[in-house]
Amino acid sequence: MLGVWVVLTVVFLALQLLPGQPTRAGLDPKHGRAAQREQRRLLGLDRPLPARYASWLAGVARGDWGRSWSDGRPVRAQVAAQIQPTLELAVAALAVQYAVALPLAAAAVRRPRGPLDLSIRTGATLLYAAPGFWLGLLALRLLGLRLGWFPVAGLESLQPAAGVLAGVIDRLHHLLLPALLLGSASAAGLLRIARNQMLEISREPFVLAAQARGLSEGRVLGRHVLRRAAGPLVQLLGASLPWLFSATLVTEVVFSRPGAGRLAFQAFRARDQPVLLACTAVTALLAIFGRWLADLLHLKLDPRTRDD
Amino acid sequence: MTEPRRPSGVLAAPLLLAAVALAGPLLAPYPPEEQIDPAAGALLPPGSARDVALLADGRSFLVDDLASGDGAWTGRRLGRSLRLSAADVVGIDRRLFVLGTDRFGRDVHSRLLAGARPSLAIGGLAATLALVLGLVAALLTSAAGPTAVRLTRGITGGLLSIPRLFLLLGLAAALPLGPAGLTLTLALTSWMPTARLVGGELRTGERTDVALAARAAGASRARVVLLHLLPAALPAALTDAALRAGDFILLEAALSFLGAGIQPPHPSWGSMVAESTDVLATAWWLSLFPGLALLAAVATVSFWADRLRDHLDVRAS
Repeated sequence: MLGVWVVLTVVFLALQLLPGQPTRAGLDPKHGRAAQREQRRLLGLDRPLPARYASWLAGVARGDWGRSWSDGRPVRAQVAAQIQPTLELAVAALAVQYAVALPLAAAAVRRPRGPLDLSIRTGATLLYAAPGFWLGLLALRLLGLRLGWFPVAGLESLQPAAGVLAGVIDRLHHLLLPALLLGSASAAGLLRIARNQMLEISREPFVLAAQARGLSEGRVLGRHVLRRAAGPLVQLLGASLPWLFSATLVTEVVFSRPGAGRLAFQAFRARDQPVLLACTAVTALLAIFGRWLADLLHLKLDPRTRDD
Repeated sequence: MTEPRRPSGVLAAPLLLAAVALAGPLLAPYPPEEQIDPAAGALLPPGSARDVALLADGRSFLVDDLASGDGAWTGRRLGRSLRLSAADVVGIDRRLFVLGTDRFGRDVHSRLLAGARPSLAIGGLAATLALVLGLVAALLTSAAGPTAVRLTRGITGGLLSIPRLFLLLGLAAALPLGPAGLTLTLALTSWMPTARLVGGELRTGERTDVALAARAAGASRARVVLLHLLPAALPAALTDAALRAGDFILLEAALSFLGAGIQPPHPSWGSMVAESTDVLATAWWLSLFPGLALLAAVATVSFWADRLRDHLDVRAS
């Protein structure tokens, strides 16, 4: 609860305390001072900060996030419509991330500092170092525009697909390239951590004992090493969610994909403070919720941590 | 145990990047914002060379195969032959666009070199500043006692769950950030991991014999933290900061790409990639080179961070 309150307060204050001209939104600069004052009054900006904070917080508690400065529509409906596409992308990217990173990490620790380990680690570092928006644009150009394998924008095709199954396939087709890119970009960091962790575990006595019992390599890895690594990896997943949402924002912008990130980007361009505020707060709350779920799962996977 | 490497090797990568940031803009062959004849000079592919004819009325033309003969200069411009009377031409110059030109006819090579400074300096300085802020926060709370430590952990935990790019976009919307503001904002939104890491190290350190002995000898809490616990926590903090230093360069690039960082017409690698999106299908060189520059810089930092960790012998966590 402290986390939720800190998030809401910091996000609100960060966007309010700064100097600047929030009233520029939707106001022609040729209008005079009086018009600007009127605009401030209409947006409630003439009230003192604590009063604005209290009414905003009370509104948020009721589920009322205010109205957009650009079009006057309720912020809540706008943001709510964008959460599902963002979660779709984030979950798909997480699946790709773990599907890429864990097998490679397992392959790398078979011979630590061997040629395979070194090339996997070098590849991971290069992948981490490549800016996500740049990789996305290169992929768009090559696979979308040049080869035409993937659609270059949107959640689904403009013409509605015939039938439910075709609709789902069409949506997945639009999701695939962004999810692959976002997932493999995030795999780089996970790969590094998972490798070090598996390496440490594989040096523990119980792994040696399992090997001494004559268990196959796959069985030792699956039943003993991975099982021990699972708890911390799940916890890591929870902690990486804020980063993932930041990366989702970039991906949504590059692929012109509707979502909370692209909405925040559009609100930034329009200087639409209430929408930007809501997008930031909602993704932060989703990250807190995700971390809470991951911690619960961690407790279930690793009973030793239950005393904490 | 391998023999410890000399510290000079450990400093090589940051010094190299600092040198690139300092010298890059000075090495640019042409002014990075120079637009000669945008009509004929836009989107020239890498390796294009053109002659420049400066006219008396202040205009200048980019011309192919410029030659002089019987009182006039002749050449080709925009696919047509061009004839300029020798009296009008006040100067002749030549441009070699090694990495091509952008939509406004500006030299990509010069912009890449000029953009090195904001792209590298902002990230590097912000990473350093965040490290210092994190250390100070950890020291202050640790000296203030257990209640402050618990409170700080709760607050930093909340701050850490805000996606940074959303928050930074919000801040950039509220006030347009210059290079200094950008550095400060990046640092102010990124000090929490260091504070938590160092805070944890200090807490473990408090229970060691060294700390207990010093306390028993009458040393104050602050003195123990500063003289005994901080030096022990520094290697871990440095390694962690180095491992995350690349994040700052990438974050600045992402902000500039989104239009919330370095503002046009000033070049930065992120905004150069952003300017390429309209002509993505045709002008591959506009996005390729700034992206490669970012990749090279961040990879250098990462490989260096790995070496630093080996050097300081910090266990991976």
